[in-house]
Amino acid sequence: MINENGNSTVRDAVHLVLELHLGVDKVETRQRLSEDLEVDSFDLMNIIVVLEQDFDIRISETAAASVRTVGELVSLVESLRLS
Amino acid sequence: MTPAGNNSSPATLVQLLAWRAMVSGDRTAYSYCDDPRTFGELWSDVEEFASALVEQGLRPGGRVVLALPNGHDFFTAFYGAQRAGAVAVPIFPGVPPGRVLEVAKLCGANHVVVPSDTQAETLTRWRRAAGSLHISTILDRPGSAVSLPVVQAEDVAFIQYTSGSTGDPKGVQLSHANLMTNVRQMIAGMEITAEDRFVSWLPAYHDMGLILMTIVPFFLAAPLFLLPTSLSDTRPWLDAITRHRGTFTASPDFGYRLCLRQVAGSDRAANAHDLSSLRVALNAAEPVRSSTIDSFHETFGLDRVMVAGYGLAEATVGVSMGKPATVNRIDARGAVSVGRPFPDITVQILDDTDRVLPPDVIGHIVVESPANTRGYFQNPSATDTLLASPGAIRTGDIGYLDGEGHLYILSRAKDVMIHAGRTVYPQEVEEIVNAINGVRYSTAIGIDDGRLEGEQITVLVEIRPDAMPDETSRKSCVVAIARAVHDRFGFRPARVHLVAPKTIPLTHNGKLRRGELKQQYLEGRLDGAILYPIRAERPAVPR
Repeated sequence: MINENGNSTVRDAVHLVLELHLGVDKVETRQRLSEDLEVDSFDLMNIIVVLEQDFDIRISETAAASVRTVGELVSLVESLRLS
Repeated sequence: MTPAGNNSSPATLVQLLAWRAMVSGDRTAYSYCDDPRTFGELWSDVEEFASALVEQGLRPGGRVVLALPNGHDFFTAFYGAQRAGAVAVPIFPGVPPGRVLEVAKLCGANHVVVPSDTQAETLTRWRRAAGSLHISTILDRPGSAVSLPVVQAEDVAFIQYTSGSTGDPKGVQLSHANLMTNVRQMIAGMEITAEDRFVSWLPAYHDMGLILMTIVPFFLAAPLFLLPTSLSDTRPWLDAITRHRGTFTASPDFGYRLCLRQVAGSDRAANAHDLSSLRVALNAAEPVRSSTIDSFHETFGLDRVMVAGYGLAEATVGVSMGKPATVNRIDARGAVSVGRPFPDITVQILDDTDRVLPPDVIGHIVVESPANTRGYFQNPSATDTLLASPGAIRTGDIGYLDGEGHLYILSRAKDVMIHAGRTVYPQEVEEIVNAINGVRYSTAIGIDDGRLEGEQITVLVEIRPDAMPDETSRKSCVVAIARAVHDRFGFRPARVHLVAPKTIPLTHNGKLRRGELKQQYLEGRLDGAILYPIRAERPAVPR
């Protein structure tokens, strides 16, 4: 999920995926996915699929299950992008 | 059938409960989150609430919308409405008040029951919005003695909306006779006895969770351990089976997949649950995957426990199930058989001209059963389409019977999407999306890419580009769509794409060609038409 110039950061892109999927105007790094954003297991699976497709990465079940906050999800995608 | 029935063979749900209260009043009807309620307690609450509803003006045949989650309130209200001779209309309780009132209007209800723990100010707001509608809770008590009507077997007990589209609502009317018939069919076909111990997290307000998982145990006075419906954690379900030595449970395929996912890779997690008491783990309401059956058995050290079943609201609920304690039959295509039809049910496979096809030939599945609905509430044209002949309904599903009468389902009604075990008509989603500012029209399609999570709902939305010239306005539109779909259905679309005008193919008379659009989308042919969000990389093509 990259903007038209193709130069947005991973952070912006992950935030955008979350915002578009969850129907919220803005997510914050510190927000917790389930408690603050009401992400249920289906939402999480959807978000993972979109991130995998858009970033061409594979997110393992274990890694996905360990993510608690928006910031952690960004870090996870960043680390997989580099590897 | 005599309307009065007799003690051992109740003709209505009301008689069933009255009979249970009389002969086994001290027995636990069910435990909700380990809080038990006896048949005697349930019946006395039901009578009181029915009286309160009648005092509020409810008349026999009137509709009562129930916006209630699993729990004590639900049963009091469901049977209370019926005790008053009225028709219960249970709906998904997660929807906002506006939608509840819309359903009330759709079915001409004058009464809506909301949870008794609703806060006073919320109730006030409800009542203000509801106008002349009565917003009740089960705490309402009658001011004086009220006489309650005699309920007849042919009276409609409840209406199950399978599509809540305002343009083409499909409210399946089920009579007491339909329900009692299907309960008996399922008990015989699934070999259920009073020794079975039911464990369920399925919604009590929806057909399989309501009829199979609560009315059947009530009928037999079999123990029932009911849980809240939760998708975020399946462990309470597994825990309840373990603790209560559950023998009978049911879920759509996705529920079992979620279990497997949550205990995945951890022997300790799997070993924490002892499911060896299970006799039947019914897998129904969604395409059954043989891989789910195999993994479930393997993970929990079970054998011949998970069986595939088939049913639909228009046949009350259950139509067929594989025989318990046998190995599932799987055909060369990998389709798991959903077994033989239950007693009194005939399944026929018809060709396009309604001729009966021989075994092993694929065609349209038609179900003939005394439990079949008389039709959709106030929708004669949809009812006409449903009925192949009097007493026989077109399921819309495609499949075949093998030489021994075992049914295989190969695909379902065109266009219908199944999200998390719930049937969703694309029109319902499109109606919501089309109401959003700047949207020309939209198409919802279900995409199953073979992943664990199953079918996901993708919405393609034609916009007027000049009305949404920049990214900010386009983002706002997608956010509004995700929010609106979530408000209405309680789930979010997997993806929303804004596309250029004239992307969505129409027939010459203006109908959406969803099948064609889905094909184009899956093959990546729409990528150029997607205006937002723009992707830099070509995604892997979902299949």
